[in-house]
Formats: sequence, C-alpha cells, structure tokens
Amino acid sequence: MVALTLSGVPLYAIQLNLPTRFVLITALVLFVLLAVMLTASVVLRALHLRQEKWQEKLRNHYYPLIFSYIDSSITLEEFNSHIHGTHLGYQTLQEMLMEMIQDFSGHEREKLQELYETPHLYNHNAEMLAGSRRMPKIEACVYLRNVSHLTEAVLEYLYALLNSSDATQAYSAAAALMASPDPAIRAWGLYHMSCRQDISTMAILELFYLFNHQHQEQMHEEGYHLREIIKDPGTTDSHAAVLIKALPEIGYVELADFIYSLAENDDRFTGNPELMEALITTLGTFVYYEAAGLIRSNIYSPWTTVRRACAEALGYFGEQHDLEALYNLLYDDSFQVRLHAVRALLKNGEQGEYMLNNYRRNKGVYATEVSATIQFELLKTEL
Amino acid sequence: MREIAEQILLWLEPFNWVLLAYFIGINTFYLALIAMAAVYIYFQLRSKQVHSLSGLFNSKLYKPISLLVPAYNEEVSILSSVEALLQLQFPDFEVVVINDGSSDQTMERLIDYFQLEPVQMPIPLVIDHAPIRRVYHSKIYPELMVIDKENGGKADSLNAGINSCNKELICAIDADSILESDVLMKMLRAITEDENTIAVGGIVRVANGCTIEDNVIKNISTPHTFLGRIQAVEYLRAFLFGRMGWDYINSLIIISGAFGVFSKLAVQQVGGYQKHSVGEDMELVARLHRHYKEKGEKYSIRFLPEPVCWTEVPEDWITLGRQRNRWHRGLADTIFRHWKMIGNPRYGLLGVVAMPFFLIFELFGPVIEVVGFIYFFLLLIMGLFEAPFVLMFFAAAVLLGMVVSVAAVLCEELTFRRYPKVRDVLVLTLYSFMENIGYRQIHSWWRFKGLLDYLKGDTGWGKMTRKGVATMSGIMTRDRGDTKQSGNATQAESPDEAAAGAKTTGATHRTSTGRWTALKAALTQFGYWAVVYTVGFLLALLTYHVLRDVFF
Repeated sequence: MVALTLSGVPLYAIQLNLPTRFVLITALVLFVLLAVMLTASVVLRALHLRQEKWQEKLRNHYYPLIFSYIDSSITLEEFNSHIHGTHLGYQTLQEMLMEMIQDFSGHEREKLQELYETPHLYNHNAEMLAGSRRMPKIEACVYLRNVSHLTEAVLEYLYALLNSSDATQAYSAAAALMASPDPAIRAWGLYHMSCRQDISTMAILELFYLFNHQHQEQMHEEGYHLREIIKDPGTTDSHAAVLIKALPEIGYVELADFIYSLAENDDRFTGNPELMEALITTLGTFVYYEAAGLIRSNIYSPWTTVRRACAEALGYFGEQHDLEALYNLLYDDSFQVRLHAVRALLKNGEQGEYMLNNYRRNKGVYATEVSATIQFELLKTEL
Repeated sequence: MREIAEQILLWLEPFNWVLLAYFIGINTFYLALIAMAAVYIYFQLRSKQVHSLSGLFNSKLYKPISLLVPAYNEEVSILSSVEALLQLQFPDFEVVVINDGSSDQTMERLIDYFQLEPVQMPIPLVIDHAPIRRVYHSKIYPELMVIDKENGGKADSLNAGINSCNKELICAIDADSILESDVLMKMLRAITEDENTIAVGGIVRVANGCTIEDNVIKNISTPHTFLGRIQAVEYLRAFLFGRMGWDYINSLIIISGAFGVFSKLAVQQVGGYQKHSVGEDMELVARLHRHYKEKGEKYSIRFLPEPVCWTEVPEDWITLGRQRNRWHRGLADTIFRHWKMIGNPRYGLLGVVAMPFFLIFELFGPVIEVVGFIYFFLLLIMGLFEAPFVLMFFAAAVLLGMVVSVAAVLCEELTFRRYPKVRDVLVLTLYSFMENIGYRQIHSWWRFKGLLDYLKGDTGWGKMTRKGVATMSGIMTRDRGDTKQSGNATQAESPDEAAAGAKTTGATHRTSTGRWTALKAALTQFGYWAVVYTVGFLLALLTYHVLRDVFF
C-alpha cells in the first residue's frame, strides 16, 4: 500500500500545475520531517533510558571499588584496572568522585582526591584537551579545575587556550589553572583574563577567589602577583577596580601601602572615577589612617561614586575632622552620598549621632530624609 | 451569480499571493528559529559548568538581587508565596512585596504572619508611581520589606518596588509563580558570562498537573486537562524555540513578566515600567533595546532555558481567551509604541529581523490566518478554487504547525527532560498534533479579536480565574478538582474591575454576567468543535481527492 502510494504520488504530482505541485512537495517534506522527528523522539528516549541504565550499572560497579580503596582494601593499580575505558565510564566515575569529594572530609577526602587524579582519568581528559573540538576541551578544563598537579604538556595546552578568541574556552582554561599550587601559574591565568574586555568583572571576582588558596604562607606571593596585575596597563579598568575592592575581603593588608600610592600618584588611577572609587573604598576598609587626608580632599570630587566612597571610608576613621567632612556630605546633591554619610556617622557612636542631631536641629536641607534614614538604619541594626 | 463570484475571485487574486508569501515567510522563520535554538541550547548546556560559581559568593561584591512581588488581592496565596521566596538559595537577596491597594485582607495577613513593623524609609522618587502609604519591615525576616501603596496597577507597583529596593539587580515575579530554589544562582550565570547583560529571562513552565507542597514542585507531570496540555506544548515551543532563537541573535524582545531579572540601573535609566501598557513586560524590554541601541552602548538581553519558573495557566476557554487577547493587545501596544524600530538598520537585527517578524507574523498573523481560513473555506464551498491546491495548502500549513510543536517536544527530550515519564512525552506529542486542529484556529481568533480591541482602545487586563498556587502547608494537586484550599479565587487583575467588586467565589457566581459568561463559554466550545469538524472534513476531502487521482 505504501509502495503503491509512493509510486502513485509522483505520477499524480506531474499532472498538477506548478503552485499545487509546490504545495504538495512542501506538505510531503513536512510529513517526512514530522515522521523523522517522531522517530527521533522515541529513539532519543530509548537511548536515554539505555544510557541511564548503563550509568546505573557503572555506578554500582564503581561504588564498592571506591569504598574498598578508601578502606585501603585495594591499591590504586587495582582500582585502575577496573575502570571502564569508555567516555561514559570515565565521565560517570568523574561525576561520582566529584560529588563524594564535596560530601567527605579529612583522610577520606584525600583518598577520593587521589582517585580523581588517577592517571586514567587525567590522561583521558588530557587527550580531550589536546583534541581540536571545542566542547571536549571545555569539559576537560572543568575536570582540571579540581586537579592540583598539572603536567607540563597540559599546562602548555591551557596556556595556549588562555589566548583563544573564544572567551568561554579562555575562561575555562584560566579556571583550570587556579587549581595549581603554584601562585605564579594561577597569577598567569588571572592576568590573562584581567586583560580581556570580553570577561566580566563577576567572572574576574570568581577567579580572584579561586586564585586565593587560603594558605597563610602563600599570601605574600599572591599579594605580589596581584600588585603586578593591578598596575599592569593591560589590565582593564573594570577588572583592576574589582580586584582592588576584593583585596580586603581576603585580607591582603600588606597591599594597603601600594593602594595608597596608586591613589596618590598614579595618573591612570586618579583620573578614573571607577578606579578612584575602588581605591578609596579599599583604603577605608583597610582603615589606612595615612589616607584620611587624601580621602577628605576627595569629598568635593565631581564624581558621585567617588564622593560616596569617601562617605563610606571616612566612617571607618572616626577622627573629629573626618566627622566634620561627613557632616558636609549630608548636604551633597546625591541621595546615595547622603545615605552613606548617615550610615558612616551612625557607625561613630555618640559623636556621630551628635553631628546628625545637629544637622536636624539646624534644619539641614534634607533633615526629614536624614531622620528617616537614621530610623531605618537603627531598625536594620536592631534586626 | 457564478460570474460575479468569479469576478470577485479575480479581484481577490493578490490575496492568494499574500497568503502564499505569509506561508513561506513564517515557515522560513520558524525553521530558522528551530535550527538556531537547537544548536544554541546544546552548546549552552554543555558549557554551563564553565561558569558554575563557587568563590564568588564569599564576596560582598557580587550582584545581589531584590525580588519584586506585586500583589493585588492575593490573600489566598500571598503568605505561601512569600514564605517560599524567602527560602530561595541565594546568599544576598531581599523580597519586596508591593501591596497595590488590595481591597481584601492581603496586607493584614502579611502584617500578622510576618510580624511587620512600619518604618520610615527614605525612598528616592527616581521613577514616578502612586503614593506609598507605608513601608514595613519584618521582625522575623530582615530580608523582607512590604510596601503598602495606593492602587496603580502592576507596572506602577513594580516602579514603586524599583525605587524602594536596595540591590543592584531586580527580579520581577508574579505572586502566584513558583520559582525553583536555585533559580537565582542560575540567572546570575548570564551576568557572569557577559558584563553587559542588563536583563535575563528564564523559562516559564506549566505547573498545572504537578504536585506542589509548600509552594515547591515535588512531582512534575503534564496537566490533566485538554487546555492545560495544549498550553504545556505552547509554552515549550515559545520558550525553547522562540526565545532561544531570538536570544541567539541578541534580539530577544520578550522577558516574561512572571519571571525576569533586570539591572536596576538600566530600568531606572529608561524610566521603569510603562504604566499605561497591558504588555508592560514586553514594552520594557523593547524600550531597553531602543535606549541602548540609540545611545550606542554595549548591552545584552539574554534568555536562559535552565532557570525555571512554574506558573499556573488558565484551564477554561473564557479565561484563556481573555489572557491571549490581553497578550495580543500588549504586543500591539509595544509594536505601535516602537514603530520607529521596525525595519530600521540602526537597531541591528532587532530592527531588521525581529521587529518586522513580530509585526507581520505575530501581530498581523492572526488576521491573515482567520481571513485566509474563511476565504479558502468559502471558495471551496462555492467550487471556485482548485480543490487539490486548497486542501494541500491547508494540509501543509497544519503539518508545519505540527512540525514546530513536535520539534519543541523533541528539543525538550534532547536537553532537559523535565517530564520524567514516557507517558508525559507521548501526551505532549499527541497534543502537538491536536493543537493544530481546532485550537490553533480559535487561538488565532482570540488574537485577531485582541488586535481589534486594541484598535478600539481597550486597555483593561480582563478578569483572570485561577485555582491558586498552594496552601501554606498542605499539598495541592492541580486540575483534578481536589484542591485542598478553602475555595477558588477569581483574581481581578484589573484594578477597575476590583473596584467594581469583581471578587467572587467562582462556583456560586450566578448573576446575569455569569449567565453571559456561561453562554460565551458554550459558544467558544461550540466554535472549537465546529473548527475541529471543519478541519477534519477538509482533510478527509483532501485524502479522498489525492487517493482518487492517484489510484483511479
């Protein structure tokens, strides 16, 4: 019947005029497409179910092996000999280990990490990284993010990817480098990303936190590299600004002198509102007293963001002339500046409150707003 | 008589070409969107781990989010909605509920349950909105703020929320929507990927049929009603293809009002939501595009298919008709407000491709479809047209609709597989077929009517009847009629209607308006079956013609 129809349709089509023939062909193409898609739907679900089943099988195969290795019942070689040498086999093991590493701690975690960095998995991902296809490269980088000891060959591939025109590839390579125990290698990745316009400041912030390994003995070296990255002319202004602002969050206190020198002398930084705001905010957070004068001199800056940063920073110092400067900022045109000035004064206890009451008594232009802000801020503190 | 008809036919000949051009144009667009979206989703999913965030959340410098929840007469569901929002996984966010002068107990319930305390708070009036009566802060949830303001509509409430909130990003959501717990984390990915992202939309899926506990989706399933299922397919198609495809060429013009994240600064720069628009969500996105293109600043407006917002869809013909009518008026409003962008190369692909597409195929598409359907049918009846051509044309049009819908289901199968049961996939596939016979024609009629209403100057929201999202601690399964809620709430989405006392308890409403509504429902049902039978008849006729000519 089908064969008869298929042989009959072309004969029928020949008899038709051109528009009808066109529509008939379109309808037939759509019909075939529909049939293909329906078949694909069914096939895909079947494949998915098969893969799920297979993955389940692999998981059941791996779990006892992993726990045996943790209990030292089997050696690494023995474990390796049981790894299923397919992409799915590696992928399943990788995912399982990653989940388990997050759930375990101490000795067990170390053992799991050893399995994660086992040559089989590592080599499989290194091969993917060396290949020419984009997605496997990215997947390999995601794996390498949690591998601390990278071989020279892999490092070479990652360095090459840093310069890729594809931002996603470059970022994934940089993120992979962040797992390295060597601060210089991590700094190289962070530096390359800081110079790129197509990498967001949020991504830089994420890398910054990956860059810091929370080892006290590395803080000095990390600080050195950060200093170099920040002052490098290749680093974009936005990225330099976010790195500067993030410094106090990790506690790179020894960079305070460097930050102050930039705010005082460096034309690139003093002439840019984004960078200047970052410098002043950081100096305030570091409570770097030598910078108080510089900050006070900036309260009449033409840039609102800089004045707002000044208001925030002066709150940390609390000297009489700092409070006076804050009092002056209560008359600022910008709501944000006034809001931060109120907050900063409130931070300074009785003295600050005295200034605020003074402002209200003198019926400053924004007295009502300042009263409301005070009440709101006090309530927030209470909560 | 026949001569006159033939004369008319001759006079109408250009219309045939309009129909053919429309057919070819829409096919090309849809197929291109399908291709782009499929590739794009595939790559996005595989590279999503690149921007999985970990260290960033240790910092205070990442972008925090304010959730803006406009509420108007939401006493039934407001507590559970807000409670659920407060449980979202995100390190720094606040929930700002804006009570838009509700005439029910919404405000009182919020005050009692969340132990709200009035505070004096300076609110800069960056965007204009109706006066705020009071601002409240919760004693038990520091991150909850409630703004009690005079009635001004949804857009006005959102504007008040934008002025009052304290975070860099805003997320506008409907009070009756359910967000998945990690949704904000996922949305932040778009901003981490691209510095210049000013707005991000997530996928909206149909919650009807799912099992919901404490405003959390526990079991995902397809809806149990005909209209619910049809809409499940529609939503898949609209989000997985439409929006992904447009996102691919940075021409996304719709971010659903039920769920979207925006840069507060960007929204303030363009003057906030447009108060007098029924499609304020789409209008805002169009205005953002226009503003940034005209200023020549880099920006991007993104759509991510992973963050999911579940929403309840209407399951009766009248409410659905009203909703689609309003959506179409919203589209018309946006298109006419931003007429200047259409075909204008200054606005890039958005101006040259997306806007003309929305004008021709989305705005005027229903006109062509409704008129074309009637036209073909009349010609066929009068015997003035070559039957095989008409019928095959019609079959091709229906088949195309099926291809696009089945492609959406296939795409879901390739990527997210949110419906775990094979049965659900089969149901969706089946409804991809059924949607094109009957429902599509009725849908075109609603949209056609929407365009006419817009031209007549109708800017009302229309009354929306919903069953409600969930109870505070109970379990609610939608659709089966076993709602463990004290009663169904008919939400008047228009303030004017509410003022006129439109709130009702659904089942007991038997006024003259109720009779008219029932009559309209019956007529729509009748219309649906009439179309189904007509289409069925035409297809049978086609089969007969083809088989006759092929075999005999």
